[in-house]
Amino acid sequence: MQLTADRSFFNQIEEIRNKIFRITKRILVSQEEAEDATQEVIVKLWQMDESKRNGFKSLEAYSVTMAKNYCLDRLKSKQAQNLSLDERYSGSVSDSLTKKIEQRDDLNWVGKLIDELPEKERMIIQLREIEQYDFDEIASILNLPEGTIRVYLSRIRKKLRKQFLDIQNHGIKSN
Amino acid sequence: MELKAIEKLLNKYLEGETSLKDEAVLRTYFTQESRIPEAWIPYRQFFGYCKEAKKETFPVKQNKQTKPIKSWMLVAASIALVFALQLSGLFEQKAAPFEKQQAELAFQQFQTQMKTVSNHLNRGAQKVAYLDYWNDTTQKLIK
Repeated sequence: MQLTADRSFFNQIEEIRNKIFRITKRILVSQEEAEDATQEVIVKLWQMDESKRNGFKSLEAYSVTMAKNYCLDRLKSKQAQNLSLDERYSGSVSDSLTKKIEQRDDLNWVGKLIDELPEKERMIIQLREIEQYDFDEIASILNLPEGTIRVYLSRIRKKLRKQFLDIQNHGIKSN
Repeated sequence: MELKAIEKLLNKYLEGETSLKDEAVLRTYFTQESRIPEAWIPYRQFFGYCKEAKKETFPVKQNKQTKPIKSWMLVAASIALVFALQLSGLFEQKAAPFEKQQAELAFQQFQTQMKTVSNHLNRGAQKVAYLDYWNDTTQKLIK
Protein backbone atom coordinates (compact mmCIF):
# COMPACT_ATOMS: atom_id res chain seq x y z
CA MET A 1 0.00 0.00 0.00
CA GLN A 2 2.78 2.38 0.99
CA LEU A 3 4.65 1.41 -2.15
CA THR A 4 1.80 2.22 -4.49
CA ALA A 5 1.29 5.53 -2.72
CA ASP A 6 4.97 6.33 -3.24
CA ARG A 7 4.82 5.41 -6.86
CA SER A 8 1.85 7.64 -7.51
CA PHE A 9 3.64 10.44 -5.68
CA PHE A 10 6.67 10.10 -7.94
CA ASN A 11 4.53 10.00 -11.07
CA GLN A 12 2.72 13.07 -9.91
CA ILE A 13 5.93 14.81 -9.03
CA GLU A 14 8.02 14.02 -12.09
CA GLU A 15 7.14 17.05 -14.19
CA ILE A 16 7.26 19.24 -11.12
CA ARG A 17 10.69 17.91 -10.31
CA ASN A 18 11.97 18.91 -13.73
CA LYS A 19 10.51 22.37 -13.30
CA ILE A 20 12.03 22.73 -9.87
CA PHE A 21 15.36 21.64 -11.22
CA ARG A 22 15.31 24.21 -14.01
CA ILE A 23 14.24 26.97 -11.65
CA THR A 24 16.76 26.13 -8.93
CA LYS A 25 19.48 25.89 -11.56
CA ARG A 26 18.58 29.33 -12.81
CA ILE A 27 18.69 30.81 -9.33
CA LEU A 28 21.77 29.01 -8.06
CA VAL A 29 23.63 28.98 -11.42
CA SER A 30 25.16 25.63 -10.54
CA GLN A 31 24.18 22.23 -11.78
CA GLU A 32 25.31 20.47 -8.66
CA GLU A 33 23.65 22.82 -6.23
CA ALA A 34 20.47 22.73 -8.27
CA GLU A 35 20.42 18.94 -8.08
CA ASP A 36 20.85 19.07 -4.32
CA ALA A 37 18.20 21.75 -3.93
CA THR A 38 15.75 19.79 -6.08
CA GLN A 39 16.30 16.63 -4.04
CA GLU A 40 15.82 18.61 -0.87
CA VAL A 41 12.51 20.06 -2.02
CA ILE A 42 11.24 16.71 -3.28
CA VAL A 43 12.09 15.05 0.02
CA LYS A 44 10.21 17.77 1.88
CA LEU A 45 7.20 17.23 -0.35
CA TRP A 46 7.42 13.50 0.07
CA GLN A 47 7.59 13.70 3.85
CA MET A 48 4.49 15.82 3.91
CA ASP A 49 1.17 14.28 4.92
CA GLU A 50 -0.62 12.98 1.88
CA SER A 51 -3.81 14.76 2.86
CA LYS A 52 -1.93 18.01 3.18
CA ARG A 53 -0.18 17.46 -0.12
CA ASN A 54 -3.42 16.76 -1.92
CA GLY A 55 -5.06 19.72 -0.25
CA PHE A 56 -3.11 22.32 -2.21
CA LYS A 57 -4.88 24.18 -4.93
CA SER A 58 -1.75 23.78 -6.98
CA LEU A 59 0.97 21.46 -5.76
CA GLU A 60 3.16 22.82 -8.51
CA ALA A 61 2.88 26.45 -7.43
CA TYR A 62 3.48 25.44 -3.83
CA SER A 63 6.56 23.39 -4.78
CA VAL A 64 8.01 26.13 -6.94
CA THR A 65 7.55 28.67 -4.13
CA MET A 66 9.24 26.27 -1.76
CA ALA A 67 12.12 25.77 -4.18
CA LYS A 68 12.51 29.51 -4.62
CA ASN A 69 12.63 30.12 -0.88
CA TYR A 70 15.11 27.32 -0.44
CA CYS A 71 17.38 28.75 -3.12
CA LEU A 72 17.23 32.27 -1.75
CA ASP A 73 18.22 30.91 1.65
CA ARG A 74 21.10 29.10 0.04
CA LEU A 75 22.23 32.24 -1.74
CA LYS A 76 22.08 34.16 1.50
CA SER A 77 24.40 31.74 3.19
CA LYS A 78 27.93 32.79 2.38
CA GLN A 79 29.06 29.28 1.66
CA ALA A 80 26.73 28.85 -1.27
CA GLN A 81 27.71 32.22 -2.64
CA ASN A 82 31.37 31.28 -2.70
CA LEU A 83 30.63 28.00 -4.34
CA SER A 84 28.54 29.41 -7.15
CA LEU A 85 31.07 32.16 -7.78
CA ASP A 86 33.89 29.65 -7.90
CA GLU A 87 32.05 27.56 -10.39
CA ARG A 88 31.19 30.49 -12.58
CA TYR A 89 34.74 31.77 -12.67
CA SER A 90 36.39 28.44 -13.18
CA GLY A 91 34.02 27.93 -16.09
CA SER A 92 34.85 31.18 -17.83
CA VAL A 93 38.59 31.05 -17.16
CA SER A 94 39.08 27.58 -18.52
CA ASP A 95 37.10 28.30 -21.68
CA SER A 96 39.41 28.48 -24.60
CA LEU A 97 38.92 31.10 -27.25
CA THR A 98 37.63 28.67 -29.84
CA LYS A 99 35.14 27.36 -27.35
CA LYS A 100 33.92 30.88 -26.73
CA ILE A 101 33.45 31.44 -30.43
CA GLU A 102 31.56 28.19 -30.70
CA GLN A 103 29.38 29.24 -27.84
CA ARG A 104 28.45 32.43 -29.58
CA ASP A 105 26.83 30.38 -32.31
CA ASP A 106 25.37 28.04 -29.79
CA LEU A 107 22.26 29.04 -27.90
CA ASN A 108 24.32 28.60 -24.78
CA TRP A 109 25.51 32.17 -24.66
CA VAL A 110 21.92 33.35 -24.32
CA GLY A 111 21.76 31.34 -21.11
CA LYS A 112 25.02 32.89 -19.97
CA LEU A 113 23.65 36.39 -20.50
CA ILE A 114 20.57 35.48 -18.48
CA ASP A 115 22.68 33.97 -15.73
CA GLU A 116 24.55 37.23 -15.37
CA LEU A 117 21.37 39.07 -14.42
CA PRO A 118 20.58 39.71 -10.74
CA GLU A 119 18.79 36.80 -9.06
CA LYS A 120 15.35 38.38 -9.01
CA GLU A 121 15.54 39.06 -12.73
CA ARG A 122 16.79 35.55 -13.41
CA MET A 123 13.80 34.16 -11.55
CA ILE A 124 11.34 36.31 -13.46
CA ILE A 125 12.86 35.36 -16.82
CA GLN A 126 12.79 31.69 -15.88
CA LEU A 127 9.21 31.72 -14.64
CA ARG A 128 7.79 33.74 -17.50
CA GLU A 129 9.87 33.09 -20.61
CA ILE A 130 10.81 29.50 -19.98
CA GLU A 131 8.17 27.98 -17.69
CA GLN A 132 5.46 30.25 -19.12
CA TYR A 133 3.60 31.00 -15.94
CA ASP A 134 0.77 33.50 -15.81
CA PHE A 135 1.42 36.85 -14.17
CA ASP A 136 -0.79 36.01 -11.19
CA GLU A 137 1.11 32.76 -10.63
CA ILE A 138 4.48 34.53 -10.78
CA ALA A 139 3.13 37.20 -8.44
CA SER A 140 2.14 34.60 -5.87
CA ILE A 141 5.37 32.62 -6.20
CA LEU A 142 7.58 35.69 -5.82
CA ASN A 143 5.22 37.44 -3.43
CA LEU A 144 5.22 40.61 -5.52
CA PRO A 145 2.35 42.56 -7.10
CA GLU A 146 1.56 41.72 -10.73
CA GLY A 147 2.29 45.28 -11.82
CA THR A 148 5.78 45.06 -10.38
CA ILE A 149 6.41 41.83 -12.27
CA ARG A 150 5.37 43.48 -15.53
CA VAL A 151 7.64 46.44 -14.88
CA TYR A 152 10.54 44.13 -14.10
CA LEU A 153 9.86 41.99 -17.13
CA SER A 154 9.75 44.98 -19.45
CA ARG A 155 13.02 46.25 -18.04
CA ILE A 156 14.72 42.87 -18.38
CA ARG A 157 13.46 42.31 -21.91
CA LYS A 158 14.75 45.70 -23.01
CA LYS A 159 18.05 45.16 -21.26
CA LEU A 160 18.57 41.75 -22.84
CA ARG A 161 17.58 43.07 -26.26
CA LYS A 162 20.19 45.79 -25.97
CA GLN A 163 22.84 43.31 -24.93
CA PHE A 164 21.94 41.00 -27.80
CA LEU A 165 22.15 43.84 -30.28
CA ASP A 166 25.50 44.94 -28.85
CA ILE A 167 26.87 41.46 -29.31
CA GLN A 168 25.49 41.23 -32.80
CA ASN A 169 26.86 44.61 -33.86
CA HIS A 170 30.17 43.85 -32.30
CA GLY A 171 30.32 40.64 -34.28
CA ILE A 172 29.63 42.45 -37.54
CA LYS A 173 32.21 45.15 -36.85
CA SER A 174 34.94 42.70 -35.98
CA ASN A 175 34.37 40.86 -39.26
CA MET B 1 0.91 42.16 -43.19
CA GLU B 2 2.17 39.54 -40.79
CA LEU B 3 5.36 41.47 -40.13
CA LYS B 4 3.27 44.42 -38.98
CA ALA B 5 1.37 42.23 -36.57
CA ILE B 6 4.57 40.73 -35.19
CA GLU B 7 6.13 44.15 -34.81
CA LYS B 8 3.12 45.32 -32.88
CA LEU B 9 3.34 42.30 -30.61
CA LEU B 10 7.05 42.86 -30.11
CA ASN B 11 6.45 46.40 -28.94
CA LYS B 12 3.85 45.15 -26.51
CA TYR B 13 6.25 42.42 -25.47
CA LEU B 14 9.01 44.87 -24.63
CA GLU B 15 6.58 46.82 -22.46
CA GLY B 16 5.64 43.68 -20.55
CA GLU B 17 2.09 43.86 -21.81
CA THR B 18 1.80 40.65 -23.81
CA SER B 19 -0.31 37.76 -22.60
CA LEU B 20 0.92 34.17 -22.66
CA LYS B 21 -1.10 33.72 -25.84
CA ASP B 22 0.64 36.65 -27.52
CA GLU B 23 3.98 35.28 -26.44
CA ALA B 24 3.10 31.88 -27.87
CA VAL B 25 2.47 33.58 -31.23
CA LEU B 26 5.87 35.24 -31.04
CA ARG B 27 7.56 32.02 -30.01
CA THR B 28 6.05 30.12 -32.91
CA TYR B 29 6.95 32.85 -35.35
CA PHE B 30 10.56 33.15 -34.26
CA THR B 31 11.29 29.47 -33.90
CA GLN B 32 9.57 28.34 -37.10
CA GLU B 33 9.89 31.16 -39.59
CA SER B 34 13.10 30.74 -41.56
CA ARG B 35 13.26 34.22 -43.05
CA ILE B 36 12.97 37.06 -40.60
CA PRO B 37 14.19 40.67 -40.70
CA GLU B 38 17.81 40.88 -39.62
CA ALA B 39 17.03 43.24 -36.78
CA TRP B 40 14.92 40.51 -35.21
CA ILE B 41 17.61 37.84 -35.09
CA PRO B 42 18.23 38.43 -31.37
CA TYR B 43 14.59 37.57 -30.72
CA ARG B 44 14.97 34.34 -32.59
CA GLN B 45 18.00 33.43 -30.50
CA PHE B 46 16.22 34.33 -27.33
CA PHE B 47 13.00 32.46 -28.05
CA GLY B 48 14.98 29.53 -29.40
CA TYR B 49 16.96 29.40 -26.20
CA CYS B 50 13.83 29.55 -24.03
CA LYS B 51 12.25 26.72 -25.98
CA GLU B 52 15.31 24.54 -25.53
CA ALA B 53 15.75 25.48 -21.89
CA LYS B 54 12.25 24.23 -21.10
CA LYS B 55 13.26 20.76 -22.21
CA GLU B 56 15.94 20.35 -19.58
CA THR B 57 15.11 17.60 -17.11
CA PHE B 58 16.42 16.56 -13.75
CA PRO B 59 19.35 14.23 -14.35
CA VAL B 60 18.27 10.85 -13.06
CA LYS B 61 21.26 8.91 -11.91
CA GLN B 62 21.04 5.19 -12.52
CA ASN B 63 21.92 3.88 -9.12
CA LYS B 64 22.83 0.31 -9.76
CA GLN B 65 21.69 -1.29 -6.57
CA THR B 66 22.06 -4.99 -7.13
CA LYS B 67 19.46 -6.70 -5.09
CA PRO B 68 20.64 -9.92 -3.47
CA ILE B 69 19.68 -12.79 -5.74
CA LYS B 70 17.75 -15.43 -3.90
CA SER B 71 18.44 -19.06 -4.78
CA TRP B 72 14.77 -19.68 -5.61
CA MET B 73 14.99 -16.89 -8.19
CA LEU B 74 17.78 -18.74 -9.98
CA VAL B 75 15.83 -21.98 -9.93
CA ALA B 76 12.75 -20.22 -11.28
CA ALA B 77 14.81 -18.51 -13.97
CA SER B 78 16.40 -21.75 -15.13
CA ILE B 79 13.01 -23.47 -15.24
CA ALA B 80 11.58 -20.60 -17.25
CA LEU B 81 14.53 -20.76 -19.61
CA VAL B 82 14.19 -24.48 -20.19
CA PHE B 83 10.47 -24.05 -20.72
CA ALA B 84 11.05 -21.23 -23.19
CA LEU B 85 13.57 -23.32 -25.08
CA GLN B 86 11.12 -26.18 -25.28
CA LEU B 87 8.52 -23.82 -26.64
CA SER B 88 10.90 -22.47 -29.25
CA GLY B 89 11.71 -26.09 -30.08
CA LEU B 90 8.11 -26.51 -31.22
CA PHE B 91 8.56 -23.76 -33.74
CA GLU B 92 11.88 -25.14 -34.88
CA GLN B 93 10.15 -28.17 -36.41
CA LYS B 94 9.45 -26.21 -39.55
CA ALA B 95 13.17 -25.69 -40.17
CA ALA B 96 15.23 -27.77 -42.61
CA PRO B 97 16.03 -31.33 -41.36
CA PHE B 98 19.75 -30.79 -41.05
CA GLU B 99 19.33 -27.51 -39.30
CA LYS B 100 16.70 -29.15 -37.15
CA GLN B 101 19.04 -31.93 -36.16
CA GLN B 102 21.75 -29.49 -35.29
CA ALA B 103 19.35 -27.40 -33.34
CA GLU B 104 17.97 -30.40 -31.52
CA LEU B 105 21.43 -31.57 -30.63
CA ALA B 106 22.35 -28.14 -29.36
CA PHE B 107 19.10 -27.95 -27.52
CA GLN B 108 19.57 -31.33 -25.87
CA GLN B 109 23.07 -30.40 -24.84
CA PHE B 110 21.83 -27.15 -23.49
CA GLN B 111 18.99 -28.87 -21.72
CA THR B 112 21.30 -31.31 -19.95
CA GLN B 113 23.52 -28.42 -19.03
CA MET B 114 20.59 -26.49 -17.69
CA LYS B 115 19.47 -29.55 -15.76
CA THR B 116 22.88 -29.82 -14.19
CA VAL B 117 22.78 -26.14 -13.30
CA SER B 118 19.31 -26.57 -11.93
CA ASN B 119 20.34 -29.58 -9.88
CA HIS B 120 23.23 -27.69 -8.43
CA LEU B 121 20.98 -24.80 -7.65
CA ASN B 122 18.49 -27.10 -6.01
CA ARG B 123 21.25 -28.53 -3.93
CA GLY B 124 22.23 -24.97 -3.05
CA ALA B 125 18.65 -24.20 -2.12
CA GLN B 126 18.52 -27.27 0.07
CA LYS B 127 21.67 -26.16 1.79
CA VAL B 128 20.17 -22.73 2.33
CA ALA B 129 17.04 -24.34 3.75
CA TYR B 130 19.22 -26.44 6.00
CA LEU B 131 21.08 -23.32 7.11
CA ASP B 132 17.76 -21.65 7.90
CA TYR B 133 16.75 -24.67 9.91
CA TRP B 134 20.07 -24.64 11.72
CA ASN B 135 19.71 -20.93 12.36
CA ASP B 136 16.22 -21.40 13.78
CA THR B 137 17.42 -24.13 16.07
CA THR B 138 20.32 -22.02 17.32
CA GLN B 139 17.90 -19.19 17.98
CA LYS B 140 15.73 -21.54 19.97
CA LEU B 141 18.72 -22.80 21.88
CA ILE B 142 19.89 -19.28 22.66
CA LYS B 143 16.46 -18.45 23.98
